[in-house]
Amino acid sequence: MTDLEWEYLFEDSPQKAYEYFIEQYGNLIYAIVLNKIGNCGSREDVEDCVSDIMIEFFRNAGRFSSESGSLKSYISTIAKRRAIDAFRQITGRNNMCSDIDDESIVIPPSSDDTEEEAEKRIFSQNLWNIVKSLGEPDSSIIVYQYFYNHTVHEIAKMLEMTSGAVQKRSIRARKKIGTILRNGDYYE
Amino acid sequence: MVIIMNKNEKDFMNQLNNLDDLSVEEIAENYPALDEHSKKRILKKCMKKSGFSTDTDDDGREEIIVSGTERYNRASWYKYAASAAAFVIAAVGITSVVLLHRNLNGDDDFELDNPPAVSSYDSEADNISEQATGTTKEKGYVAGGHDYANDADYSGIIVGGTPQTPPAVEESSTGYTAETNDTPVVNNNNSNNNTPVQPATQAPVAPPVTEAPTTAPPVTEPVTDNNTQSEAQKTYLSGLYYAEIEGVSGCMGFDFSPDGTLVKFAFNDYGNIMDETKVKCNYEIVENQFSFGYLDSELNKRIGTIVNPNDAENFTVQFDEMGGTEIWHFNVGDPIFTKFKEEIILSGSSYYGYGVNDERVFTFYEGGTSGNYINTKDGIGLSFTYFINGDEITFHMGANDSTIKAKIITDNIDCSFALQWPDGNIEYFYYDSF
Repeated sequence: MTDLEWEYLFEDSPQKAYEYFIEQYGNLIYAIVLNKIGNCGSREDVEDCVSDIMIEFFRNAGRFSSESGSLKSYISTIAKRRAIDAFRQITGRNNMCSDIDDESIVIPPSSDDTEEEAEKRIFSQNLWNIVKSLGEPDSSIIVYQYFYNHTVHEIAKMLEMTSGAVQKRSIRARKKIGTILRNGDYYE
Repeated sequence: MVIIMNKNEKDFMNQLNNLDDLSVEEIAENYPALDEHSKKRILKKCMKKSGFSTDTDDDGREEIIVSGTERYNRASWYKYAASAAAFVIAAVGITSVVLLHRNLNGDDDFELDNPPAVSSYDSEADNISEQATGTTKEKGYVAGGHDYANDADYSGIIVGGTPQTPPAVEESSTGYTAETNDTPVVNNNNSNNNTPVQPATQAPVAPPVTEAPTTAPPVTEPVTDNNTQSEAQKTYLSGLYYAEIEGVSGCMGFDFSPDGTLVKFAFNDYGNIMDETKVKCNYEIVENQFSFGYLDSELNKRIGTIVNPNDAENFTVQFDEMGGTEIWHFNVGDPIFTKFKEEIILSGSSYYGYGVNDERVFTFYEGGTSGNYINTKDGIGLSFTYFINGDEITFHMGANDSTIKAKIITDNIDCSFALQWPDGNIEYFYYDSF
């Protein structure tokens, strides 16, 4: 479906357009937003941001040009930009609440921070590779528990397992991940 | 990488929220997270922010829109009343702590009057006094508050095999049997390890054992006569074994009895006996050929050969039909039985709880008297002190010192231990490996 077709659908029935859009791109947008604000925002914040992204897409549907890339990339770009805005809002709000005199807010990152940030990125990537290598259902359990921040009960319901089994598998999987990371026995 | 892990080892899994775009797309595609409820909530937010109205609410029911409501202003005195109440509570708390501190310092006999561990050693004192009067009562193996000796189905399970040993050997036995988790366990069969194993956190010292307990001695010399050999092996098999099975979690335990019967039962990864899997069998060993059958079927079937009958440490069983081997370790000194030798709740460890709330983490500090708990869902935490008496644990929670008693369950559960709270709910605890 092109952006113009989305526009027509939206004019015809906004509710149907949103429903269809959520069905098509909802999970992608949700994952992008969670990747940016999952550590600082609540589930409510994430869903707010996802809805903002969808509204922005339909408001600017006519601006998309297929020559500049796929619709999926366009939506991903909007999602990332909006998620970063949301991150700033949430962290700003949290900083104001916790310590208004915190000078670190205005200090630009030093070279040490940059190095640490790069190291974190590499670590995250290695972690993701290890999680993928765990196999099912352990990979799913870890992703839902630590990427999506779902509770054990929710994961158990989703994967049709008992909560005890999910908990047990999660503990074993984390132990395995820890061992692999400590031994450096992973693919970089 | 090591720096990151060392810095915050417990939380390094949170680094999953820092992935590149391709990985995020992969996650969105392979691990979709939006369920119907979430989709409806997002749809509703979109419609509301766009200025449209939806037909249904989050649960798909018709939405009722209320208008013309009056703005509620909280009364101003509420703030002052809340401050005053908070002050009173703080004052009471501080006063309580000061009074408690004074009482503890002023009463030197306090600890002697309430020793946490004394009651758990009563049974041991009974045992010693009974021996002195010559009326030694055979006590069975008790794990997690469950007396397997008094359980008809487990009447033969004794660590060290004392009650099961032949008369000639029994004379040299001290009659010292493993009892509760508080009681030291004697390694009866390893002559180089015959002192009681004392749990790390137990203050009382084990009673002195002057003679090395020598129950069920292993056959160390080759036996030429077939009948003698068979009898000797039966003697050696008396007691408790566990099987090490490659690639299988948990393991099987065997309780051999000299009368030719055995009980098979399963341990899980946490060292708990899974009762529903125990099976009564009979067995026979002739010239190292090992056979057993289920008692119900009255059928003995040869299953394999013991390839190292004279080994003092373990047996290696070579299976006929199934193929492959299993190593059967003789009772004590192996990790699977440390469960019974140590405390059920390890101090200095954390356990995830499931069954009451989604995720509660109980941490038991070193020392075995205090800890804290935190609900990872809402972040609420509370410190506590605790005291274990048999299969009952008493918590004193938080500053107001509310007392909660719970029953400790270890049988037939697939976790480290479980607690049955006063309202009847059972919470299952898993050891947190990090």
